[in-house]
Amino acid sequence: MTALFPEAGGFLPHQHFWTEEGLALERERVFGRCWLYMGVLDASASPAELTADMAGLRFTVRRDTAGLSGVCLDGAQARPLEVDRCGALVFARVAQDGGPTLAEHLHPYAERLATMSVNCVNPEPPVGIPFQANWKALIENTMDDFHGSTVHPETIHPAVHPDWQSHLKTERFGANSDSCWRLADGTAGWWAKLDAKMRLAKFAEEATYRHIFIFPNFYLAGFYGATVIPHRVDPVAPDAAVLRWQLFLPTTQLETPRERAFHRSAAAYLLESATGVINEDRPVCEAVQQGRPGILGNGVYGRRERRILDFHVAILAQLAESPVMEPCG
Amino acid sequence: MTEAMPDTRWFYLCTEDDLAVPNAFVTTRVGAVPLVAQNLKGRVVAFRNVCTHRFAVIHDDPSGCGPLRCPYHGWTFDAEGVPVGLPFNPTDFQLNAEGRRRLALNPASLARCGRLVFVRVATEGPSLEEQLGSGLFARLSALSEDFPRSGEPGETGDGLDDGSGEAWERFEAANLRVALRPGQALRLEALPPPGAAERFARTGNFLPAHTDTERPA
Ligand code: FES
Ligand SMILES: [Fe+2]
Repeated sequence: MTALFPEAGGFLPHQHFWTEEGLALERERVFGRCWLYMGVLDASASPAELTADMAGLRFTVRRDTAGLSGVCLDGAQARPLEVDRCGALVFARVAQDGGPTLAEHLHPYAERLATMSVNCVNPEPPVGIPFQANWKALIENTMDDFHGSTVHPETIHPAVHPDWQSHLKTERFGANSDSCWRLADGTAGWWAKLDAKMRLAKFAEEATYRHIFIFPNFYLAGFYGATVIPHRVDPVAPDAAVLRWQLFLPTTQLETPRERAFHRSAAAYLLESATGVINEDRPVCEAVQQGRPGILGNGVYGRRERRILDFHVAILAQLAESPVMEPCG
Repeated sequence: MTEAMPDTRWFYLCTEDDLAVPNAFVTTRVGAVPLVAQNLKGRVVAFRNVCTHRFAVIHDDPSGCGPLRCPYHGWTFDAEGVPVGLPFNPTDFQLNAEGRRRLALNPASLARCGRLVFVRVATEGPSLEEQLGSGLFARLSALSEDFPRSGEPGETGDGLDDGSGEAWERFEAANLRVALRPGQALRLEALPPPGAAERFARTGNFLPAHTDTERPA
């Protein structure tokens, strides 16, 4: 049997998905402590600023002549941030003694992320889509590799190779993971045409859809070794989250009005498709939010759902850590 | 106490007619627990309306007709609540008969009072007749038999003051507000159980087998 019936201690108790207590503990021990994705700094803006709201914490990262710095506001309390980057991706965490470096936190995907992030150019405006569901329900959904045929029968499902099961490669490393799908021939052909027309900048020659997850709430999606879409799931309330993402369609041809117009229309099409897919995921995440308080059992996890339990175990470990010591004044 | 802990309380759900055809279902919610009653191959059964795989609500609509199939990964459940259709079972789960039985839907309780269907979260507890009291139970049961045809609100008198001057008798039973014009019309207004959204409110208008209005004057 490849199904796993989780044992106590191997999964998060259900009430972590809807209680104020669960979110408060996560604010302190997950979002108040872990490395978190902040965004991509606009190269042209100076000084540049990134802000993020997660679990009631307000993060602000600034780049000025002195470099990168930031602050986390927790109510009236301001705590300095440690800011670092992986390629173009900016991460921050509440400054603390000890804990992993950013490279350690991203392990073993730091290099791959940095390579992909080279394509974080030609940005589209950031998008935020609210979900009436706990943030972890969105994370579980994104690490679930086999809901394509039921949830995305006309979008993602036909876009990946019909024999996706043999071609899907999923790596797991602690709570971080990478899954890589071979695109359907038709989809790969569509990208090849787009490439011929606009000379995409590519970080790799791969006719794939790639998805790298970094604990606790970041994932970077990539198509055809060209387009990249960083995603972050922001907790808003025990039963509410916002999925924030930004599309980058990197081209080497943006000189003439004609090239710019073509890029605009291709980006608009991709934005619409990505939004369509997220709007298919939203109802199932919300259905899980509604259903979980009413279940008596602990569910079952199939061969392709182990990453979800990896995530649960990492959250449990993070919640069990003792609080960060306040610096003595 | 019963307000805070409604698990052992019965709530009116629908009439038998609403569940008469195979795959017809009606849903509600009691506290935090979504419930479904469904006709599966002629048997009317009630479960927690939550998938045992990864907890999605199975039927989101207050009522409808369709297999008891989870929208997330497509698990389909039989009248015992056992998942019988599991996409990717051979590769991803390899659940045998025992494994499937272990993942049967959590049962809920269903009871009838005449043609009226009630549901309850708890599998054990006082009977519907005990909750309503035998007098009220018998009366409601008889009324449901005496008014078997569902009608449009216009046919039974819109609102409860239709200007006809004929008084409606009113009483309450569980989450039901009953209004009766003897020999003429029965109106059942079901309030959503505690924890359920307004969309689970239901109103039904019922007529006797033959109404006076149908007879030639
Ligand atoms: S949650 Fe119902 S089939 Fe997966
Ligand atoms: Fe999805």
